[in-house]
Amino acid sequence: MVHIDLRQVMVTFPQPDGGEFLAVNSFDLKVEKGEFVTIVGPSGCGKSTILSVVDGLIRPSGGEALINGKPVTGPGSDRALVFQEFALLPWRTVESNIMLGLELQHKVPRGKIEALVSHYIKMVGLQGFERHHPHQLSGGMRQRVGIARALAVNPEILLMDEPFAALDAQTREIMSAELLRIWEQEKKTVLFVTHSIDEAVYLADRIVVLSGCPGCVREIIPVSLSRPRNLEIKDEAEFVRLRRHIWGLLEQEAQRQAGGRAGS
Amino acid sequence: MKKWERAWIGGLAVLIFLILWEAAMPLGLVKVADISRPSLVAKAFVELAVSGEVFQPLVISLKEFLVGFVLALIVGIPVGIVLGRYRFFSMLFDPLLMALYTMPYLAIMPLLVVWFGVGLGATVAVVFLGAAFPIVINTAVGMREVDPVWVRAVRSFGGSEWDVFRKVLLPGSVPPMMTGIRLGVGRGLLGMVVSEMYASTEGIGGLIGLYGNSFRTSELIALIAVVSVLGFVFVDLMRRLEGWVNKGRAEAQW
Ligand SMILES: Nc1ncnc2c1ncn2[C@@H]1O[C@H](COP(=O)(O)OP(=O)(O)O)[C@@H](O)[C@H]1O
Ligand SMILES: [Mg+2]
Repeated sequence: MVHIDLRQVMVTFPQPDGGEFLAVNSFDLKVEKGEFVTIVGPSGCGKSTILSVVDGLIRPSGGEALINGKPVTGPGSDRALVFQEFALLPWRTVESNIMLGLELQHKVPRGKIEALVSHYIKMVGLQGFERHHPHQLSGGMRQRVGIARALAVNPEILLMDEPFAALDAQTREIMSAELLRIWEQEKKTVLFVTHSIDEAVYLADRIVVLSGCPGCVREIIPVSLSRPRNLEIKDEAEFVRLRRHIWGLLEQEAQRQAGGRAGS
Repeated sequence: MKKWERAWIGGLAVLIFLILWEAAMPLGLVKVADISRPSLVAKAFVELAVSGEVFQPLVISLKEFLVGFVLALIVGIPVGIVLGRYRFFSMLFDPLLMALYTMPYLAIMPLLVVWFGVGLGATVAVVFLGAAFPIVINTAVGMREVDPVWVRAVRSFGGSEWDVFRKVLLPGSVPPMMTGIRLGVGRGLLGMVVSEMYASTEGIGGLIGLYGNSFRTSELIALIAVVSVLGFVFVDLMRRLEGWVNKGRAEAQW
């Protein structure tokens, strides 16, 4: 069943000089329920903008974004966003940060919030840090809070915007393995933006490779690696092949952007 | 350990300063009327306290300060919020506000006396003027400097404009707001003393004027110390209030 259906989505931003800036041009993508789709592409090609459209923070200037066949009209409790910058409120404790979405959505009675929060704290492995503030945590732990906060509202769709980009390489690997473990449990539909080709292949059922022309899909690559996956999978021939293939696509893009010599 | 070291070295400096001060007069370096001596200041302080001479003026000063300062909070915080939130208002009022803020507000004392009369009115007005501007300006700055990604987080969970305001903008702008309030305490107290000296003979400022004019340096310095303590107590109170409003929030880290 198609869960997220983006049809020729176009986004323009008004510019100070009165003109329009084309950030996403005619973007098409269908995501099945429970599917894990990653998006890679050069920076500035509209990845965050696409996530914002699905989340309902930005209204497309053209085309349409459908969730379960219904047009997106704004943010909703069926979707939650995880940010590259974590976006935790620094004056709140871990616990209270995780409560934010629940507080805002008034779906869950006050009395049940605490049980939910402690459930998700356990799921992301933050027991013992309930009363800590974000600045007392490492980057990886902060993003665990960000993930728990998103999961706590029990969304059907998890939108992740380069969630591990600010982490060091090792923490990053651990976090993506953790994310897969959680995803196997929770069975959400995930749209995951990343800069890392490794991450894109490791996590995905399908990889969307974007090109530099704003939000143009270069190629959509199905990943046939078996699940559940562990980090050793990165040595398998299929993984290596996919990585090389995507690297090639992105390199062409980079060259085209750098010197316009792609055709030569 | 570091903290003790700090207190120790700072305390030593104060001690040396007091000894030098105490010794300056017997050594014939200065006349007693010029700088007095710590022991004489202490004696004057005790006498002022024992005779009760200082209490009634203190009560008057406190009343004037509190009325002016609380008014500054009541007016300053909402105005700062509006200026910080709405670009239109900030474009409209920022230049005027900056001009008024940098104006030597004590210089308009004569006008305030004409408008509000000698005594309580003029002093309250000066305290208000002194305290309101830093509160307005820093509250507005706080509102503007809130990280937009926090706002995005609240919106992405379906939060309304009101949610954005109460969950992010307000708590997020507390640190700069507190800076403004602390500055306001200092400027308000200064305004209070000068107004009382200039426009009335009441309050601590009035007393300072009285002793100043008759060159009773020890009493003068003792009274200034009283005002300093007052300032310290207010700033500390504000800090406690801040801690109470945001339990456990770690200010230094962000
Ligand atoms: N709110 C906005 N106003 C104007 N331009 C924007 C806005 N958001 C993004 N852009 C521009 O749109 C383009 C795509 O941005 P983004 O989706 O953030 O790219 P990516 O996430 O792929 O790096 C960029 O050139 C960016 O500068
Ligand atoms: Mg981005």
